[in-house]
Order: sequence, then C-alpha cells, then structure tokens
Amino acid sequence: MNKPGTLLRLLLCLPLLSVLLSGCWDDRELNELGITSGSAYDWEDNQWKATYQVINPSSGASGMGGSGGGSTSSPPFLTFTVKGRTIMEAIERTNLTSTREMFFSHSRITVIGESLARHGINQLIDMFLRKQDARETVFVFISQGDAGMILDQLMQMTKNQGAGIQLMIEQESRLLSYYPGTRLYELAMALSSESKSAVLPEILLTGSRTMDETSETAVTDLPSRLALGRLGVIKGDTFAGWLSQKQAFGLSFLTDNIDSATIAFPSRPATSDKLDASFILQNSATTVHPVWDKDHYVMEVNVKGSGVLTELGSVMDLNDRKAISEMETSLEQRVLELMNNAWAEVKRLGADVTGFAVRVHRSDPKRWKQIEKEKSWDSVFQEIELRPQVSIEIERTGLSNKSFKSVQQK
Amino acid sequence: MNGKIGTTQAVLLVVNTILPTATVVLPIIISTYTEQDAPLAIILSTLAGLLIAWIVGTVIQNSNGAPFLDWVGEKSSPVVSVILGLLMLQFYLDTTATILREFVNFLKDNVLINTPITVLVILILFITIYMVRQGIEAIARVNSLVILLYLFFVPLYLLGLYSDLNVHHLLPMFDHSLAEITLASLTPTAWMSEVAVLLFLAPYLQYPQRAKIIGWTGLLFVAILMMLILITALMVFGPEFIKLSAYPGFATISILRVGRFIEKLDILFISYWVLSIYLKFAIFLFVTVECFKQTFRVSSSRPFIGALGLIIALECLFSWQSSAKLNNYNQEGRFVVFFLFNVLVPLGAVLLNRLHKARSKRKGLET
Repeated sequence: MNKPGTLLRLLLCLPLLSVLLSGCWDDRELNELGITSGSAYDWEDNQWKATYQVINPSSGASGMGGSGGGSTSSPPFLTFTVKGRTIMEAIERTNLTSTREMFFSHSRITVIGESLARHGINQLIDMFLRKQDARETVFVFISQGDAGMILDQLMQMTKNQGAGIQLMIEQESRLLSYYPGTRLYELAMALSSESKSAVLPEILLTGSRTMDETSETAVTDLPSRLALGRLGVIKGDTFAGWLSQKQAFGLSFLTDNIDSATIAFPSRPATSDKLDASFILQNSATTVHPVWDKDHYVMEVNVKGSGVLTELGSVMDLNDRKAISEMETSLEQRVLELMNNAWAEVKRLGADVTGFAVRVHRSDPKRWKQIEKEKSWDSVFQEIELRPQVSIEIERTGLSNKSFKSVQQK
Repeated sequence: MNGKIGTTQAVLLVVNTILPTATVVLPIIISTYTEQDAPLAIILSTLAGLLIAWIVGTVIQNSNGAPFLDWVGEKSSPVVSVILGLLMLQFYLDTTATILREFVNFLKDNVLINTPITVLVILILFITIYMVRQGIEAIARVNSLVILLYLFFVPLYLLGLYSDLNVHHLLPMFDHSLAEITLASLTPTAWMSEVAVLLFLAPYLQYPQRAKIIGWTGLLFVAILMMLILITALMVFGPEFIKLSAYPGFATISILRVGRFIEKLDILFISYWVLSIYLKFAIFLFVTVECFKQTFRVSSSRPFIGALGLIIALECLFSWQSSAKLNNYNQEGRFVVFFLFNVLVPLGAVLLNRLHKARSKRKGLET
C-alpha cells in the first residue's frame, strides 16, 4: 500500500533535482561567452591598453588547418582593444563593443608590451592571481613594440593563435633550450623569490606588416610571421634589459634549464675557429655551489652533459679516442664561453636571474639573514665570482665512423 | 536512527572533522610564520594533538561511553553540568558557524561568485539538517565512502604535480627559531584539538574503550594528509609565493596537468572538497545537537535540529561577514577558545574523576 505512494513522491521529487544543476546565480550560457585564447597588455597615455583575442565561433575550416563548418572567410579569432585606468575597467569596457562576455579560463598566452614592462607589472600579476577565472598557467611573453599587434597576426599551421604560440614555446624549450617558457605563476614565484628577478621570452613579428586577413595567409611563405626572439629581463617589477639568444642559452646552462640542445662548435679548435660540427646535448645537469671567499661569494658551477655528434665538417677519424677528446674539450670551451658571456650581461643588468640569491639563502642561511637585513644583495651580487666547470661526453657519433670530408680527401 | 559506529568509522569521522578546513586554511597560516620550516610546525602540532587525544580518550574510557555532560553531572553536581553544557553549546554553535562561513566563503570566492551568501547558507543548511536527522551511523557510512575516494584523488594529485615538484624549495631547513615554529603550530594544534568531538560521539561508539586508539589513528592520518598537502604546496610554489594565495592547497591544483590533455581539474577537486566539508559540517551540527540534548536533557533532539541550524545560519551570516575578521580569529583567537574547551574541559574531567575516585577510596577506608 505504501510503496506506490513513496514511488509517486520520489517521481515528483525528480524534477526538483534539476534545480541543483542550474548553478544558482552563476549560470552561464556557452553562446553568451567570448572565449579568450590570448591577451596583451600595454601602457599608453597613462592608461592600461588591453587587447583580447576571442575565438570566433562562426569561423570554419580554411587553409589554416582544422576542420568544421561555418564561414571560411571569417577569421578564426577576433581581437578587441580597450583602454582603462585599471585593468578591470578596461576588461569591462569590452562589453561596450562585444556581444559576448569575456571568459578567460581558456587563455593560453599573455603578451606584455615593453611600455608596460617599463611601467611595472605588479598590478597585472595581482589581477591574474586574484581574479577567479583568470588562469595563472598562461605563458607570458614580452614584445618590444605594441603587444596588441602580436595578437592580430594569423598563423598558418594552426587556427588558434594562442594555442599555437604555446606549442611554439613548449617546442623551443624542449628542443632548443634557449630559454624555458614562463608561466604566470612562475613569473610571480621568481619575482617574489629572494632574487626578485625573472625572465620573459620575447615574441615578435619577423616582418613589418601584420597578417590579419584570412586571404593573406593563403601563401606558402608568409612575409611576416610570429617568432620567438630575445629574452627580456625583469627586476623588481620593471623591465631591466634584454639578453640575446646566445646569452639566454648560456643562462639556461647556469640555471639548469637545458632539456635538449644543439651546440655548434669547432671540431679542431687548435687549427681553426670555424664552427664546423654540431652536437645534440641530450642530458645536462648543472649544480651551483656558493662558497664565501673572504669578502665575496664564489659560485662553483658544475655542468655535466652527454649527447650525440650529428654533423662534422673536418677531416677526422672518429675511431680515434684522441679526436673525440679534442671535440669534447672544444664543446666544453663553447659552453664555458656561453655561460661567461651570459654572466657578464646579467651582471651588467644587475638582475639576479641566475637565482644565486636563492642558492645563497639555501646554503648559507646565516649570512643571507645578514644580507637581507642590510638589503645589500645588489652589491653582493656584483662582487660574485663565477667559477664554472664543464664536462661533456660525446656518447655516440651517429651512423658514420669517419667524416665525409676525410673520405673525399683520400 | 542513531546506531552504534565501529572503530574504523570513528577514526574516519575524526579525519573529516579536522581535515577539510585544515587543508584550505592551514598552509597559509603555517607558512606565514615558518615558510619552508612549516612541516616542523605540523610535527609539533601532531604531538600536541596526540596528547589531547590521550586526554579525551581517558575521559571516554573513564565514563565508559556515557553521555559526557551526564557523567560530569554525576561526578560533580547537576548545576556544574548545566553551566558547562551551556558554555560548550555556545562554543559548538560558534565553531559550527565559522565552519559554515569558511565553506560559503570558499564557494563564493571560487565557484559561485554571483550567488548570494544567504542562498548558499540556506541550501547547505537544509542538506546538512537532513544528514543529521539520519543519525551519526548514516553520516559515518557516507564519510567512510568519501574518504575512500582519497585512493583516487591523492595519486591523481601527485601524478599531475610531479613535474612541478622541486625539493629544493624546502631548503634551508631549521631556518626559523623554535619560538616561530611554536607560534606557527598553535593554529594546527587548535584544529587537531577538534578530536574532542569524540566526547559527544562517545555514546555512539561501539567500543568506547578504544577511544584513545580512535583519536590517535585519526590524528596520524590527518597529519600525514596535511603534511602531503603542505609539502607539495611548498615544493611547487616555494615559501614566498605560497603566502600570496588565500587557498594554497587549491592553487597547486590549478596548475596540475597530466600530459597535454588533462588540465584545469579545479572543479573536480573542489567538488570532492565540498563533499568532505559537508561531512565536517554535519559532524559539528550533530555534536552541537548532542550537546544541546545533554544540557537540556531532552529525550529526542530531532525537533531542535532546525532551530539550532537557524541560530548557526544567523551567526554565520551576521557575525562573520568580514573574511579578514575570520582570518584573524583563525590565526590568533581560535587557539585560546579551542584550548579552553577542547583541552582544559576534558583535562578538568580527568582530574574530577581522579578526585572522585580518591574521595570514594577515602570513604571506603573510613567505613
């Protein structure tokens, strides 16, 4: 008797469950959201200039890869540029021009213009860490000119430019190791660490024009492309200067950020300085040990690496152990040169992007407390002496035992 | 409806009594004082917690699982028992209200930004009142199932963070003075002292003689999980950045990724946390109701659950509006109040029992 009544009551309660799925006051319809894949920030006329790249849902398949329906002439993303006295004021102003509310949870990249970097980026980092839908995992870049221009550029191999740039930096740090990609929380961590300095990869356009029309990308060789350039150095929260790619590479050795790298080196340094051989560094580990020497710190940097020879332009028999040793010494000299070069520039900029302050704190906490009390790290940093040691082993020499040139000369 | 709960179920209840709020608030509180030495503060507070569990366990063993306030009334006088009951009721109402506030603050900050707090409070309260009406046995069963889910979440958490863990962020060790570590361990000790809820769960324990084991095992489990969360947060973000985040435990989850295809798992972990905090809130509401029942000697507490819930909701809405005030209370005020009710009250009960025994012995000798 009771069972049908209970069943009926349960059935009546079922529609009530839908109330739980509504998200109360926070429901958002997908077709009302403008999903941003990238953002850029500049400082112009004492105001924040923010550019947002929003995925265009009406864009279809084109020559840029991917598939799907929709209009092929419509660009895969749209950009909105807004200005405001604060970042949030600028963001809210997008609602004056866009039919969709900005949704930042799927952002992949953020580009900071040099103008903003010189002004200071504290407020931007704070907004990213505070705002609920902002992603602290976005990759951050710096651009010399107008950062917003970068977001207008179409890419050929991918429709989603933000995701494309993310792939570029991930690939670069995995295969080249000139610099690691910097995510926003890593930037905040570096700036809040004892070193108070961070690095940001530069993103630039190789040509003078921005390719922002879909028809312009229907060529095999784009006159202007997006590329990764130098390494921007931030100290405190402001821009301190640039490191060239070569210096950035040296810094990667100093900071143990080498994943895999290709090194060009002279195979016979005793006879010629010509870079005629290549080596892929497959394993590399750097240890840094700070030692207090009377009145200054000595950084004992020890790099150990191994890999494979991939190119050889001189006459050489690779079965001869002596020849291999000669090349190993040449490689070691090359890495030493890269590190010393990077160190000289970092010292000149006076920004501790090497993380030496962190190392000193970890290995010599008592002296660090004194340095912190006297706020004298900048002067201590300038007095640091770098003592690098490099040991590189050529583990394999590829599929040839002799260089092609040596066969030709016979 | 209120059946007896087994020893394992009780241990798991102790775990969820402490862990949900501790995981959210603790890292920031500890790291503010001790940075990379924060794990030492957890060790210190666990030792203090084990001592508190010993005191609470002794009381339960002495009373053999009798209702706490009735037992105090027997050993002293009914007046003392009623006054103590009123004070403890006030304490549990306050504590439950702050738990509710932390719960809604977290939801408001992270997920339901536009939903009014009043709506959140009412919804949570309705669900929890329903849970409490089902009795402690039902709560304990659901709680055990929820804790079993750690077997899924902990490996996923560690796997997703593996590439970001840097052990060097824990250096230098012993960089802070004992005074700083002690100061940092006060708040976790206050959380650990919540093991004192066992005093009011005692009548429902199948084996009250095992109360000490229940308390100790629960606290060790909590300490291990807290250490895991704290150490991973420190290893990922380092001692400086961790201070910036209001919810460092969840900040680590936001960067968690497995390969290129699994990322942004915040909502999954937040949902799990919501499950746990529902249980914590239910346990505290149950204890509040139990305290009310023992103080006013009512045979059935069911009609009063809603009324007590309403008081808690009102206190949550109007006394703890400012999150700065709540953070300040967590950091500075909580220890004193918790020490008073979770440590001194059971300690007083142990001493009372000894005194009572000594008196009875003396009387026995005189006759």
